[in-house]
Amino acid sequence: MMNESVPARAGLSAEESKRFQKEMLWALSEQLGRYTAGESSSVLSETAEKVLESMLYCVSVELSARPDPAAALREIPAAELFRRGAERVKSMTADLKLLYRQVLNTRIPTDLIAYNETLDGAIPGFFKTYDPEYAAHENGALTGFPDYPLLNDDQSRGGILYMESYLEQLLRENRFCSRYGKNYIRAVLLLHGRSCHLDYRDLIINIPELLLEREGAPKPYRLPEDAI
Amino acid sequence: MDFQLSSLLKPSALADADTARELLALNEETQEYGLELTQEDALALAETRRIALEASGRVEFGTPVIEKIIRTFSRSRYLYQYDYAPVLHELLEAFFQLKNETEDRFSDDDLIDFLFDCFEYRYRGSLEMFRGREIEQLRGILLFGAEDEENEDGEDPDDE
Repeated sequence: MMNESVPARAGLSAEESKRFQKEMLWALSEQLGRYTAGESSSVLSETAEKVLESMLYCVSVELSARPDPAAALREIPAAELFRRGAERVKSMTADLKLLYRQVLNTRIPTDLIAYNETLDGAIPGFFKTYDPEYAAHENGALTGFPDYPLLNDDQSRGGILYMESYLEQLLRENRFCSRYGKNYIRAVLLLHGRSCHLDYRDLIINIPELLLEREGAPKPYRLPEDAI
Repeated sequence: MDFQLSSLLKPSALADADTARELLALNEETQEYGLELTQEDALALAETRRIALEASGRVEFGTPVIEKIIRTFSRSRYLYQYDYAPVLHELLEAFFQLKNETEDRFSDDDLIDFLFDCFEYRYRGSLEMFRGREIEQLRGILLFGAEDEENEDGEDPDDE
């Protein structure tokens, strides 16, 4: 799991790790108090673990924005690292909505269902349901990952970091596909659908991958601007 | 070092003594009602709390709810020194069970008040309240409400 070894990955000593854990547990108690609006003194273990994972995710986001994560872990109390990380996650969420607008403005003209449902349903659904406060590491209502596959999709992490990477890649792919006409893209999809004995609109397939395959590009497929 | 929540937030047997000390401190308040916990009672309650949390898959992060339960129930007219500790054990287990079975829909205060009203007016201090079928009924009342009822003497419990 991404968050489990935050202090270990930063190279903290056993004693420093223990201090960090103790501080995180205090912060967790306060966060759970907020989670229950002060009305309960207990929660299910799974709930506590989910909230803790969310907090560690925020700490990781904050640390990854710093030039010296180990120094930050040593000098800044865990609760403060969490608070700053949570603010950073919320700010990233707001910024990503602008990136999403760019993706929509450059969308590929296609009737591929997975592509359109991802742009018009899954991604807005993520923004509506993403919970940076108590489930920052999860993908909101997007349980799992978007249906439309990317050419290169890093699914090793969730939450806002995953969506940031997904949208950035999707924007690059949209721009690549803008070189091709709508009818050409449809023809390539149609031919592929026929070879699979399927209606092409139902395919779960990456459009740039088909275009690059058609052009005989070397594998592994990469967008031209990604090529070294 | 992995962040194993299960080994960190869950109370350990070593922490029972700390919990017991906090419970004994409440004797100052409950003495007024003729109720006191012995050292042995407090330790046993602390252990019941730990086991009940484990059994119900819950973790406590604030002031242990047993303290609120003691403060509320010590004013019951049906609680006497001889059954004080046994009733507290039953209440603790019932509390966490109902908390789970009602999916955390009710605050601690609301649930404790509900249990107090049941103990005081519906069961009049009888430990029957804590039998499996009765707890099921209580769960139903919490979730779906109960029709207005009068007690056997024809008095409305809400008037008392």
